Amino acid sequence: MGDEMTAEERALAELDARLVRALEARPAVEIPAGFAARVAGQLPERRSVSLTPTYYGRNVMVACMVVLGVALLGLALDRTGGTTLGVALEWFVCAQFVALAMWLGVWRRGLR
Amino acid sequence: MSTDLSFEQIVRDHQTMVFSTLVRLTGSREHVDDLAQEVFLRLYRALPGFRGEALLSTYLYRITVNVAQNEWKRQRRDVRSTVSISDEVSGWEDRLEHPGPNAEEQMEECEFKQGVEEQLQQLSQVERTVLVLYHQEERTYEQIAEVLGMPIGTVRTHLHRGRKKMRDGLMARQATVEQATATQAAERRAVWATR
Repeated sequence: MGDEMTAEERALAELDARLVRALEARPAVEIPAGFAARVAGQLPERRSVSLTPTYYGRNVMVACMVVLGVALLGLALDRTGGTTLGVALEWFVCAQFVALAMWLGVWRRGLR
Repeated sequence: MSTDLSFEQIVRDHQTMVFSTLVRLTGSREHVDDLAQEVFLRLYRALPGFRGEALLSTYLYRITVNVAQNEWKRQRRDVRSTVSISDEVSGWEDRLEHPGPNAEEQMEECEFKQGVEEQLQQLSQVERTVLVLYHQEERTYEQIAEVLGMPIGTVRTHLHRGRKKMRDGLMARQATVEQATATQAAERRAVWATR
């Protein structure tokens, strides 16, 4: 019985080995001559990508800073600047101006 | 122009792998060059988004498997609408390299390989893909998991299950062949006895 099992196991192992050998063998393929050239010839045209950077965001930010600067100047010259509303507005515009200045500083460092 | 030339080199470097994987995965040599062409065109279109996190070959395997999956779907549609005209026996005689004293062994080996191909086509798509990538393409579990987007444990399971199904199928096939041979021999003996 023991020998019989061993023989069966041996047959299974042999079958496994044959199976793996058959799977490992790559099927013979016929690649048409000039296949690579044919594929390369059929490649679609690739649109050239412009590598010139645009600075729309930065320009808008600079324009905003100018506007905020003018607003700050206007608020400083305004006589009503002493009121609570005037001071709050002044601080609000000033905070925006500082935030934009910091953003531009970080952006410039990122460019280097 | 130089892009086309370097891409041509990429095609040349990988075409054997793409062709043999497609033949194994689809189980057919029909349209294989059209499929291979589609693989490389997809690769070309995908190259601008290729960031080099994976190997180019891993990327290419993923595209090849996707194209093979589309082909399976197409074949399944065709099978539903038409009768199969499989050429499973054609050409095996040509693969017998030298008819000689060991021709019988070669024929047996050829039949075995044919049986393996048949059993491979009986497996599910994912089992077949895992078996082909592991055995034929010698990819690691990690690479197969990356190509198929599944955990390594699942890849292992599919591999073992696929091999077991193939082994069982081959044993059943072998038993059928032996039974047919025995029946033929018995019939032959009966004919001789009546003479």
